[in-house]
Amino acid sequence: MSFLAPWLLYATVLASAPIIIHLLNRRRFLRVDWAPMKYLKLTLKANRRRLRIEQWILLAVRTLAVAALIFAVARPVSSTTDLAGFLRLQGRASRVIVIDDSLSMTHSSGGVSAFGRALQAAEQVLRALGPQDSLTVCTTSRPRSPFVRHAQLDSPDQVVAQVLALTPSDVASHWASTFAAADEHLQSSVFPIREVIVVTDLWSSGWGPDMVDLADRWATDGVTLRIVDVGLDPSENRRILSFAQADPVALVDTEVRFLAEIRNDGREAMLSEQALVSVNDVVQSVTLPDIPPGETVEAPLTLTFDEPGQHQLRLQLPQDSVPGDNERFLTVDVRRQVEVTLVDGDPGVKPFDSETDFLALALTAGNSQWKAQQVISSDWIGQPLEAPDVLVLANVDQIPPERAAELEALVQAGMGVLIFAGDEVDSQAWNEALHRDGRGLLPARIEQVREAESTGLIVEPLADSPLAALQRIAPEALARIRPRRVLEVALPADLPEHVRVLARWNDSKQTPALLEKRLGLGRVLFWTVTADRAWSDWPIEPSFVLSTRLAAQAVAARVSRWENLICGQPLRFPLDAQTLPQSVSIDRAGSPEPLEAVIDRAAAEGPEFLLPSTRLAGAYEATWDEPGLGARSRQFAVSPDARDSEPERVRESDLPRYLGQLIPKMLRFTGESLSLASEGTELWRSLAFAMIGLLLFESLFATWIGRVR
Amino acid sequence: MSRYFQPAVIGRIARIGFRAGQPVEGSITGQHRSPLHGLSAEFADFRTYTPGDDLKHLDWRAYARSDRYYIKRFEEESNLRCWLIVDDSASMNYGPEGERKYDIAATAAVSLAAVLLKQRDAVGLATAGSKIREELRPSGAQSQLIKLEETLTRVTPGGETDLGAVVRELADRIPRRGLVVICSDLFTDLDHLYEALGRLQYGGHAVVLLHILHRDEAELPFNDSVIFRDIEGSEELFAEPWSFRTAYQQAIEQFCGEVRERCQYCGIDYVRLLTDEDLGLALSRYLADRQHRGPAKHRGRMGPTSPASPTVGGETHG
Repeated sequence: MSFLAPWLLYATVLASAPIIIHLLNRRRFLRVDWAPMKYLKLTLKANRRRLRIEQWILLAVRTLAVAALIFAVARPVSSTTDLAGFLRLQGRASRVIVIDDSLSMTHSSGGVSAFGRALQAAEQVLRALGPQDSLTVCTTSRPRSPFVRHAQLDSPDQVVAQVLALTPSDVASHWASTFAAADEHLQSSVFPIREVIVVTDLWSSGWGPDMVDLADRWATDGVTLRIVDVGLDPSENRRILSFAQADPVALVDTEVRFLAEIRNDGREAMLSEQALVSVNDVVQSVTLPDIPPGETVEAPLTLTFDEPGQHQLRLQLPQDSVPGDNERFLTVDVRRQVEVTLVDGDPGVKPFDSETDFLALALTAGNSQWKAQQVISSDWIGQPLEAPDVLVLANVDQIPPERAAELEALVQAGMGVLIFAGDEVDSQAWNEALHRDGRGLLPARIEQVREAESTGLIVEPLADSPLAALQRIAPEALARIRPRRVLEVALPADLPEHVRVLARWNDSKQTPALLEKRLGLGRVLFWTVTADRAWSDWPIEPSFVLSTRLAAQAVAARVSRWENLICGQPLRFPLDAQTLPQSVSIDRAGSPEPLEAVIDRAAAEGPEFLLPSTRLAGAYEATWDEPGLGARSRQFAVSPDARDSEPERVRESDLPRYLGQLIPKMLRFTGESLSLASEGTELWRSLAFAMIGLLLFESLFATWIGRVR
Repeated sequence: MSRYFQPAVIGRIARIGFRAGQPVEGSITGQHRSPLHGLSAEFADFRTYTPGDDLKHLDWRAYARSDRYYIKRFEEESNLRCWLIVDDSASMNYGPEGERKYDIAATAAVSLAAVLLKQRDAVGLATAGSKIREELRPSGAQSQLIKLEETLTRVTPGGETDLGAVVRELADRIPRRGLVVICSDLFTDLDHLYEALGRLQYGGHAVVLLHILHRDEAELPFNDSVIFRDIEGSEELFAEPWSFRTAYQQAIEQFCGEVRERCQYCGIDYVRLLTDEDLGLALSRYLADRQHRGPAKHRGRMGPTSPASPTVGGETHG
């Protein structure tokens, strides 16, 4: 047995209070000169044994009541000196031991991490188990890949060695899936008595009510859950919640802005602390803004890159009690130019006959950092879809549903899309493929083309409108934009949150001119007018150049679907089906052994290589040989999942919310004596009941023996 | 004559008087039966004439009827010689001044003496604990009452008790049959006392035992822890009286009951007096009862007690 407040045990001297009071009471007496001493002595002699027993019982009860009170406030937890007894089950059992190796387990105090204690506890549990039971051991980062499966331990040394060789991961725990995996192991076990032993720090991240159903089933099926609590209360932690590129496109020799969200969970403010930023292993120091305790601050960072290509960034905070969440990795794709693909739905032979000629001129004239590529729509639909920074669909008649789905995925990943109306547009096909009752790319349902009576363009006064700069030019310039025809759209009375009207035509209906829809990380801007002079003379106006550039800059973004990951996510990258490699090797910086990726030829989005789960944060590089094209490589950044170090612990009283009817048997492991110190189940309630019982007994017994006899 | 001479008590018992239940041998004519034949008007019996007998006692009528000579005898009436033995040991000192057991014993003795003296009986006094400390020879003079009261007032209770030795000494010294009244709490060696009482009975004395107890001694009413110190010794005992009060009361009752039973068996009058009771009432009841029931019947003589010692109530003895 151990105590959570052992210093209170010094108060056990108070248990002698009843004895002292008894002795003091013996000093308060009458003195009587007595004649019939003979009969007094005879009476006492006959009753001495009874009186003495009664006195001793009363003294013992009072002393025990005081001792029970002191023990209760010292918060004892039940003894586990007999660990084998604690783990004993009636018969042979199938056991699954789950060792929490999530990021929060790196929390250390006094030089020993929670993970270190977890390994010690796991070792002791393993050594206390008998050879008759079936044993499966896994970690929370890989619950479905146990390193011991249904084994019977004749000698635990080998398993113990495997356990002691474990290292913590940077993955956040998710107990619902972990318990589900443990349940699968139990289902395939042989013995009817089943038990799950979880060695964890009980930090709150990952615990949720989504496991109640499974826990209730375990309770019904008689599955025993033991939780070995090796955690300590969180203290003095700082963590990087996110680190991302703020500018949508990173260009060579251009300042690129980054933003890091840093949270101070400590009790003291972070004042002008230094963080380390490394770009391709070149380290430089940056000063962080002041961060008060308990607050999150966005720290801006500006970097300039000399070379195009992928660059690995690493942001690192000073060490604290949870080292796992002090760094963040980012892969930046730096390019020389912003790539714009102009999909032309109405190509022409002469200059400026094509639908996208004016657009190409407007985007690239005097702007060497923008590179426009014009593609005829029929060709574009037949080619594999690439991900430019901006995709412009000008008067495209229709988009096949498959291509529409690919577009949606790219926009979700950050790509920007500009859409211009035109006579070729098949409204029905567009609505079916790209509106899909509001779930597609189109901000609004397309109705029909009608004659316009507009007398100019009105820019909506929105704070973050990409056309805000248009409001600063002369109103006459906007008044000269008078389309002859416009494409009408149907807008619901209450616009969805992610749809906005950025500009309207100045007519009686206030017809929308430019609509915006945000989808995932990307944006779609939809002009209800053509990009050539078919419906208006606006393309020859200077305001067309400004408007087009503003819109393109607003939506341009480098799609980064694969490169930046959080630990636990699968690492994957699409491969060309024509040049599939034999194998893909993945190296993690600082790790000696390469990882073998799986080539998934039947993936839904085409062939890809796949590393099912990333356990550790860091800079990863995948290399492979494409037949005929030679060696290729791709860099990835995997960051730790800082959600796991949310500074809050699950209390025993909270467990019913997550485990329903399943009542776990708790075992507390402090690690101070490198032995299992306590069961984790506090006994103060039992002691309180015992004390109340003793007091009741004392009252009744004292009344009984105090009666005249 | 004010401390133990209580007119209220004497007034209640004087009209009842005291009659010896058995023949006594006095020196003068009195109102009590004598074992001798004398000149009273009360016919006793006949005996055969022997030469030398005074012819005036010859019953001629009996001669006429039976032609034999019979001498007619008459009972003699004598006065009573009473010895009052008052226990003056330290144990009699228990109680507040004026209500000590000794005070009650002395008052009872003076009151009885007053009644007896009024009947022209002779009254003597012995105050004793383990030995006789004060002694007054029996006398029928009215001044005896004053002497008696003075003697009792002079005595301060103290010392140990061995009432048996005292009574035995007196039994050996009293020449004629008489009355012996013992006023004591009887916290003494009862075997010795019983043996001494047997001697008194053997000598033909009538014995009255006034057993005087304080109510504390009978009921043990203390509600605090008490150190009991032996009033006649140095022994001390710590006790919480409430935890064995009933057992103690049973022990005292058993003690009194045993003494009473032995006294009844041997024809000794036993009267228990509590110090806070009305002494006049208690004595008058006793004397009235004695007047009505006649002489005590004794079925045996007092002797040392049976092997069974006084037992004490409690859980072991129920």
